[in-house]
Amino acid sequence: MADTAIEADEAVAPGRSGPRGAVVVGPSDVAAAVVAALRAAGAVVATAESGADLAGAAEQAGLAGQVDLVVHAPYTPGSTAPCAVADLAPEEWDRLAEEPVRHGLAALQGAYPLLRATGGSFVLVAPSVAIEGGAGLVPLATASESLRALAKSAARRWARDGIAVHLLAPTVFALDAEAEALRGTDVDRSEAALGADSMSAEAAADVVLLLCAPGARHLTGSTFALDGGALMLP
Amino acid sequence: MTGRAEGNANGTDTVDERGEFGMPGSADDPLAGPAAAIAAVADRKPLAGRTVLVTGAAAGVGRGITLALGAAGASVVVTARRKEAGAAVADEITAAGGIADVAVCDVTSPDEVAAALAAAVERFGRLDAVVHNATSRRSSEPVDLEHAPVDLWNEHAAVGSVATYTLARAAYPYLKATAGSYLVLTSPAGMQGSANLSFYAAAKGGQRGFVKSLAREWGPDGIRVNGLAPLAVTPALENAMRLDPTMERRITDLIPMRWIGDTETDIGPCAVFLCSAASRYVTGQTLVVSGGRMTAL
Repeated sequence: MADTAIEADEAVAPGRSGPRGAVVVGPSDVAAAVVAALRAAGAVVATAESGADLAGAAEQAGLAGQVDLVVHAPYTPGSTAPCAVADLAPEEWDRLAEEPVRHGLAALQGAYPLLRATGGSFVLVAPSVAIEGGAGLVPLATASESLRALAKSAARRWARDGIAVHLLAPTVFALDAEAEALRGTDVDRSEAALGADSMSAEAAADVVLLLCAPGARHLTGSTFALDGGALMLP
Repeated sequence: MTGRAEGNANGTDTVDERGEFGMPGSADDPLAGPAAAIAAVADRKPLAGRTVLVTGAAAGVGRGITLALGAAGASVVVTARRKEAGAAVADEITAAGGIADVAVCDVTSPDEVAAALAAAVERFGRLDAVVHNATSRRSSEPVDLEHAPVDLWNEHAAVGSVATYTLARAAYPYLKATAGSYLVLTSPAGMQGSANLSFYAAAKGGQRGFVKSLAREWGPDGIRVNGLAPLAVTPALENAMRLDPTMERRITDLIPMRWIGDTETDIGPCAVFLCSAASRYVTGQTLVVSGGRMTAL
C-alpha cells in the first residue's frame, strides 16, 4: 500500500473540533488507505469488519464517546467478478447484492449514536461504476445504489443532529486487486481527465481527510466521484 | 376530488378551471385533456401483437400502466397476489376492447414468478416486455432509520431488488427471444433519498443501479432495460389527501405543471413508450414523469 499523497502535517484531522477518533469498516484497499491516512494525521482509528458492532470496536480502541468519523468501505469478495444475472444463483445474489446492504444499514445504525455524541461525519464508499452501470456487475451496482440512497436518507435525517453524511465513489479499481480483472472491459473508462494516481485508494483516503476539514461542515448527502474526472456529472 | 378552491398564488379566491388533482382540460377534451393522452397511445396501437406482463397490476400505478398498455393494443398479463383483484383490472381492459389475462403472482416467490411468465408465453405465444411495478406493502410507512429492524428492510428488499433480480433471471430467455424490454418502476426517492421513507428510497435506489447495469449486460441481446419514476395519485396518496385537505395544494405547488399525475393518462403512456419499438434505442435510462417536479437528473 503506497503512502497517502497528502503528507501527515498537511492533512486535516477528523472532527470539526474536539476528539479525533474514527472507525473504519473494511476490509478493502480504500479502507486500508483511509486507516493509514488518518493515523498519519494523528487520529486514533478503530477498524471493524463489515457487519461488526461499531460501538464495540470503538470501545476496544479506547474511543468511547470520541468517534467523530465513521468510514464504511468494505469490499465484498467476488463482487467485481462479472457474472450474468441469468447465471447468478439466488444464494450468490444474496451474498453480493443483499448482504452488503444489510451490513451498510447496520453500520449506519451503529454509527448514529457514536456520531450524534460528537456531531461527526459518516462516509460511505461505493464504487462509481454503480452510478454508470457495468455489464456483469448488477449485484454490485444494486447494493451500492441502495446504500447511496440509504446514506442520502440518513443525511436528510441526521442534519438535525449535526451529523454529516458523505458519499465517496472511487473507481472500482481502488477497492480491491480483484477488480484488475475488469481492465479493458467497458467499466475501464478511458475518458478520465486525470491520471491513475487520482483514482487510487490513496486518493480516496485523501478525499476522506478533505471531508473532515472544517469547510466540509457545509456539505452533506453529496456524492464525490473519484473517477479522475471521467463523468463530470452532474 | 375537485379543482382547487382555495386562494391561488396571487392571494385571490378563485375556483380555477383545472380538473381532478389540478389537471388541465376537461375529461373529454380531445386535445388537452386526459383523453388526449390515451388517444396518443391507443390510436396507433403501438403494442398490437405484443405481450406485456405487469407485476402489482391490481391498483395504483400498476393498474394505470396496465390499462394504458391494454389501450395501446398489448396482450396484457395482469399479475396480482389475489386473483380477483387482478381480474377486475383485466375485465376493464377487455370491456374496452383490449386483450388481457390474469396470473396470480407474489413476486417474492420465484416459483410463482416463473409460473406467471411461463403462463404468459403459453397463453399468448411470446413475451415482449415485463413491467415490474410491485412494491412492498409497507412502502409508504415512515421508517425509524436509526432503530428499524433489518427484517423490515428485508420486506422492502424482497419486493424491490430481490424480485427485480428474480424476474430478470426468469424472463431473460423470453425477452431475448423477442428482443424485448424490461421496465422497472422506481422513484425520485431512490435518487434523492428520503428522510422518512428511507427504506423505500434504498429499495428504489438499488433498482436504478440494477437497471443501468443490466442495460449494459443485456444490450448485446437486444433487450432494453429502463426505469420509470412516476409522481402520481395512488390510492394511498388520495387517502392521505382526503385526510389532510391542504396536502394536495402543498404538493401541486411544488410541481411546475401544477397537477399530480394520473396513473393511466400521465404515467401509462410513458410506460407504453418504454415498452414499444418507439424507444428501441433507449436503454439504461430512468424516465422521471413528475410534471417537472424533479429536473436534476
